[in-house]
Amino acid sequence: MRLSVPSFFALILIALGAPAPLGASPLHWQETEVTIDAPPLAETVEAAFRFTNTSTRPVTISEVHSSCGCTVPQLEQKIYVPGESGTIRAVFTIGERLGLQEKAIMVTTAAPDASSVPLTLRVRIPTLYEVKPFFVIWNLGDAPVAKTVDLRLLAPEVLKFDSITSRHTNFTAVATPAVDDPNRLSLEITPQVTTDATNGAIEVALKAQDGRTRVVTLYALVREGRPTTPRSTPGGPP
Amino acid sequence: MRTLREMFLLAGVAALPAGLAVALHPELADRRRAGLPDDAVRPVEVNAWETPVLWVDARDAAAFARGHIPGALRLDEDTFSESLGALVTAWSPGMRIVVYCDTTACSRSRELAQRLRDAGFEDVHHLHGGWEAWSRAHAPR
Repeated sequence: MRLSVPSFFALILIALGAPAPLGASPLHWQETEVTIDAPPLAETVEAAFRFTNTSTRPVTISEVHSSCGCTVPQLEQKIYVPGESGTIRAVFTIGERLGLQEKAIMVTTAAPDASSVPLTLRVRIPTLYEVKPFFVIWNLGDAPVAKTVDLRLLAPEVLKFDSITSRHTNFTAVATPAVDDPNRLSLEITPQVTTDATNGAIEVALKAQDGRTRVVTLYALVREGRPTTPRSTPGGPP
Repeated sequence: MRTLREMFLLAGVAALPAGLAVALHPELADRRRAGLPDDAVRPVEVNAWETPVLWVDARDAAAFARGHIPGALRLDEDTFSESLGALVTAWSPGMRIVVYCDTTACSRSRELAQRLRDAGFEDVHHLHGGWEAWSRAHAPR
């Protein structure tokens, strides 16, 4: 087969741009990518990556490493004889994460068939509420008037408003449902005085049907500085 | 021949504003070449800012312990709303927030920057190239 000059150079460029090949894995993977929809309020989710040793020699998995401390991979055993199957389980801790989370897990096998296989765990975490903004600020000497934080419950069948508590004596906090939408609440935070710098936390408790509570912390500050109101932008809660 | 001349003329007219933009704002052409999104900044750009910067480290505790940008606050997504308290206290209006993670490959800084904007912070950016780029830019020569 004869190649034209441009095709020849194009091939050279493609070859130069291609990543260095990894050693062929002696493990055959049933899945290298797993996507999980986390149930509302779940604290962890677990993914399974199944594989089989398709080589003719025992294979030792020398390292399983995750890109995030939130994802802990667990291996049943280290050495797999030819034909033997195994599973790497990855436990992902949701914490206060939101939205689509993508974590990489690198599986490395020891010589003589040394190879590295990247596994991908995707977790879709539902947004159950929106809060904006998360903090309100008064400057020293400002009029001690109320500032409002909007709370929107996006899955009221899962989480309902329970209570609001100020953790600092200088601030009071009151929640009022919107007249036209019971799933929207105005959280009014008011300082008693603005003569001293104060930094307070306001806790908003949301309750699930099974009694579990999720606490959202807001911040109220009186401090030196120029007047400001945090910009309210659409988005999810922590 | 005439068509060819017209094509060159059109190309010249089209290139004029682009050339002017590059001459007046060379950093924009640079950013475009690097394919940077609007909210991404490079270490060299942050160094040139005169406004104070609040660095936010989006990496895990072990990476933070190994090394971080001086003065950076680590924001833990496990306990995001609790961690936010330290950031609210350290931040003041007029400050720019720059979030970083490991390298260009990680997306945590971009996601966290968006989350901070949603929380009410203004002027939030993410560092293109992350900790790796910052370390390279500040390596002893």
